Amino acid sequence: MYKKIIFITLFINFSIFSQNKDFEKKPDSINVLLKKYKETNNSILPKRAFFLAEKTQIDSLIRKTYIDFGLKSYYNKDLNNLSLSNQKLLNLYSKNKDSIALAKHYHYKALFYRIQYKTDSLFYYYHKSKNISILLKDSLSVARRLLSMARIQERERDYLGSEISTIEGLLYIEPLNEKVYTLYLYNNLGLVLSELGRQKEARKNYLKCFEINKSNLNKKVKEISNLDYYTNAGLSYFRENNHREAIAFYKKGLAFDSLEYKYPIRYQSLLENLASSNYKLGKHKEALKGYKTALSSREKHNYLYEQSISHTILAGYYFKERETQKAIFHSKKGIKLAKQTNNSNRTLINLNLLSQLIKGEKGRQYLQEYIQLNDSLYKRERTLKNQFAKIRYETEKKDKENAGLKEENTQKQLLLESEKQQKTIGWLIAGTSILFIGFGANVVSSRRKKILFEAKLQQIEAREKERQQIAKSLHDEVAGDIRMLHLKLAKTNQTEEAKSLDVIKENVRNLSHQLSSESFDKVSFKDQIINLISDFFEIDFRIKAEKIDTVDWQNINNAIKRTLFLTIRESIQNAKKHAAAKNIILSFSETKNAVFLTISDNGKGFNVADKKTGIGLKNMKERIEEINGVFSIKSELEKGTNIDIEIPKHGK
Amino acid sequence: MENKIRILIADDHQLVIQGIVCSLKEVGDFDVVTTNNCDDAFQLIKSNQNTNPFQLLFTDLSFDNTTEDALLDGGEELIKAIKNNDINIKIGVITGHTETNRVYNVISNLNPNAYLLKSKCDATEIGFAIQKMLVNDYYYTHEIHQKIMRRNIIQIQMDDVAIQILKELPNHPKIANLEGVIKKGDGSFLKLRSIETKLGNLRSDLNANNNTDLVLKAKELGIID
Repeated sequence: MYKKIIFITLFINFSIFSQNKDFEKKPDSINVLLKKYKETNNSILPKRAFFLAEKTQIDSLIRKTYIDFGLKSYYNKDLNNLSLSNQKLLNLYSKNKDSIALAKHYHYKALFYRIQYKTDSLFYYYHKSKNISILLKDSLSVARRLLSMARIQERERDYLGSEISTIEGLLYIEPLNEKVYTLYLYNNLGLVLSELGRQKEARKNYLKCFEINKSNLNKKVKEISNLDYYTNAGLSYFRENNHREAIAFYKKGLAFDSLEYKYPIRYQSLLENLASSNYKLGKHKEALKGYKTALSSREKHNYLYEQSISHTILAGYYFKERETQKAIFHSKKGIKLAKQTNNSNRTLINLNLLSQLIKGEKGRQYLQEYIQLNDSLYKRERTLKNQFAKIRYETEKKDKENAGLKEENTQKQLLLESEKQQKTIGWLIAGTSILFIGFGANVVSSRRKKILFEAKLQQIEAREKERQQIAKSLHDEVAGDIRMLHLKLAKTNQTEEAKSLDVIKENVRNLSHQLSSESFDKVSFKDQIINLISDFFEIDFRIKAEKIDTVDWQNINNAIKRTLFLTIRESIQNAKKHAAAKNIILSFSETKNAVFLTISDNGKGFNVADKKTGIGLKNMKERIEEINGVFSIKSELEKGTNIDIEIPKHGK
Repeated sequence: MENKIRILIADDHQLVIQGIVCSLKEVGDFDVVTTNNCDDAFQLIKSNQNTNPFQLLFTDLSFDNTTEDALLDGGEELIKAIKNNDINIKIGVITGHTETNRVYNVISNLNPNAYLLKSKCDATEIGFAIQKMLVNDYYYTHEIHQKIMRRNIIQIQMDDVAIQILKELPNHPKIANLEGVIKKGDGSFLKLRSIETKLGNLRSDLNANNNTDLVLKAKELGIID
C-alpha cells in the first residue's frame, strides 16, 4: 500500500529547465507575444506570432516560433493551439522536408495525447519522434524522447520496458557529456529497478545521479535532484524494511532550507515517506502527524492528485487502526479525487478499502467495482505493455530489416567496389600488358623494319655495284671492241658502216653512263645534282634546284641519295622527253625524320589515272616505296606535273 | 736527246697507247715512255724525278688490269699521288669518261692541265693540248668544256648573290656603286671586296673578258633575262 507514496516530479523539472532557453535570437515582437501568451494563455497570441514569423520568411525563425508556442500551448493545456503548432510543423516539413520540424511534430502530437491521457498514442508518437531524431543524429532529443517513453512505461508498470528505454537513452546521452538528462535517466533507471525490487542497484543509480549532480550548474535542477535523491534513496531502504536508513535520508531532505516554500511537492513527499517509515517503526502518532501535515500542505496548494494520495494513505492508516468512520471518510475523499485526476491505482486501493470497511450491499458493490476496475486495469496494463512492446518490436524489426538491407547494400557495394577494383586492376594489368606487348611488338617491328630497311639499302647498294660492273664492262669491253671495229672499218674505207657503228658506240656509251654510279663517293650530292642538271641544261630547258643547301646531305644515307638522284634524273628525262617542259624546279627540304623533294615542271602534263603511264614512273614509285618513302604525283594537262617525294631517314 | 720533252703515257689498252704514240709522232719529237698500270707510272715518274724528269703525263682514268695488290687503282689515284708528292709534271687526261660527275670530280679536285676524250682525239688536238700544258695553261676538249660551262651556269643560277650582281651590274657605271645594293642570304650587304671577287669568278666561269662581256654572256646563256 505504501509503495505508491513517492511522487515522480521529474517531468516538471525538465519543463522548468527548458523554459530558460526560449528567449534567444528572436524578434522582440515574437518574444513579447510568447511571454504574454505564457502569462495570459490568450489563445489568439500564437496565431499572431505565427503570422509575424511567417512574414519574415526565415524558415529557421518560423520553425522556432512554432516550437516555442507549441510547448507553451502544452503547458497552458491549450489543445487548439498545440494542435495548430503541430499542424504548422507538419506543413513546414512537407514544404521543406525539414526533419527537425517533423520530429517536433511527432513530439507535440505525443504531448497532445498526453494532455488527454491517451497513453498508447502518447507512447507511439514519442517513439516516432525519437526515430526521426535518430535519423537526424540529434542524440539529445533521442535521449529526451526515450526518457519520456521510459516514464510512461514506468507509470504503466511496464518496468522492464522502461528499463530498456532508459538504458537506450543513456547510450545516446553519455557521449554528449550532458548533465541534466543524464541525471534524469539514471534517476528513472533507479526508480524502475526499485520497483523491480533491485534496491541495491537502484541506489547505485541514485548515487550516480547524486555524483553527477555535484557538477550540475543549474541551481534549481541541482536542488530538486538532490531532494529526489534523498526521497528515492530513502524509499529504496524503506522497501528493504531498513526504516532507520530511510528516515536518515528523508531527514536529510527535510533539512533543506525553506523546503516547504520552495519545493512544496518534494516537501510533502518527504514528509509522507518519513511518516510511513515511522509507522513501520511503530511510531504511529508521529506517522499520523506527518500524514496530516502533508495533506494540509497539499490542500493549501490545491494539489488534487497528491491529495488523493494523502487521503488514500490516511484511509489505510485508519483502517489498520480500526477507526472505520475516519477510514471510510478518507477513502471516499481519496476515491473522489483519484477519479478526478485519473489516478486509477488510488481508486482501486480505495475501492478495496471501502469494500472491506462497508458491510452489506454497498460493500459488495465496491467489491464488484474493485474487481471490474482491477480487471480492466490489469487488461489495460497488459495491452499497454503489449502495445509498447509491439511498437518497439515493429520498429526494431524495421530497423533490423533496414540494418539488414543496409548491410546487404554495403556488402553489395563492397562487392561491387571490389569487383570494380578487380576490374580496374584487371584493366590496368591488361593495359600494361598491352602496352608491354605493344612496346615489345613496336621494338621488334621497328627493329625488323630497321633490319629490312638496312637490307633494302644493302640491296640497293649491291644493285648499284652491279650497275657499275655492267657499266664498266659496257664501257671498257663493248665500247672498246666497237672502237677497234670502227678503226678497222675506217681503214678499209667502209664509211657507211663506220658511221652506223659510231651511233651504236654512242648509244653504248650513254647506256654505260646511265648505269654508272658516277663516282658517288668522290663528289658531294649537291655537286652530283648540279652535274645532273648541267647534263640536261639547255637555254630553253632550264632546271633550277632550290634550297638544296637546307639539307644536310652528309648525314643522309647513300641509298636515299641514290634514289633521289635517279628519281630526279628520271623526272627530268620525262619532263624533257614526254612533257616538253621548259622549266623544272627541284625543291628540297628536310625535317628531323625525313627528306622531302618536290619536282615540278611546266610541261603538258598527263592523265595520272591512265594505266599506260610508262615503266619509268612505275620504277620511280617502286624505288621510293622500297625505302619506305611516299611518292605522289599530280598532273594537269597543259599545266604541268608535280611530284612530291618524302623519304624517311631511318626507314620509318 | 737531253732537250727532248719527256712524255709518259699510262693506259691499260695497248691499242690506245699505240694510237697516242702515233699521234705524238705527228706533233713533234718527244721522248715517250709508256706503261699499262698506275703503280709503274708513278714509280717511273718518281725514279726519274731528279735525274731525267718527265714534263708531261697522259693518263687514262680507269685501268681494267688493276689487280688486288695494286696501290694505285686508277688515273685519279695516280694524279693524287703525284700532287701529294709535289712533283712538277703537267698532267693530261685522255679517257673515254664523259660522265659529268667523274669529269667534274677530276677537273675540280685534281685540276689536270688537259682533259681529252679518246673518241674525239686526234694529233692536232693532242698537239694543241701539249702547247697549253707546257705553259701551264689549260685545255679541255670541246665536250668537256661545254660540260664545265653548263655546270658553271647552273651554279651561278643557284647563287642568289651572283644573280643579283649580274642583274645590277648594267645599272651602275661603277662597281663601287654596287656596295649597299647586293644583299647576302641573311639580309646583310655584301662588301665591295667580296663583290669584286665574285665578279672575277663569274668572268672566269663564263669565259668573259670583262664585265660587259660577262653580262652579255649571262644573258646569252639564259642566266639572267
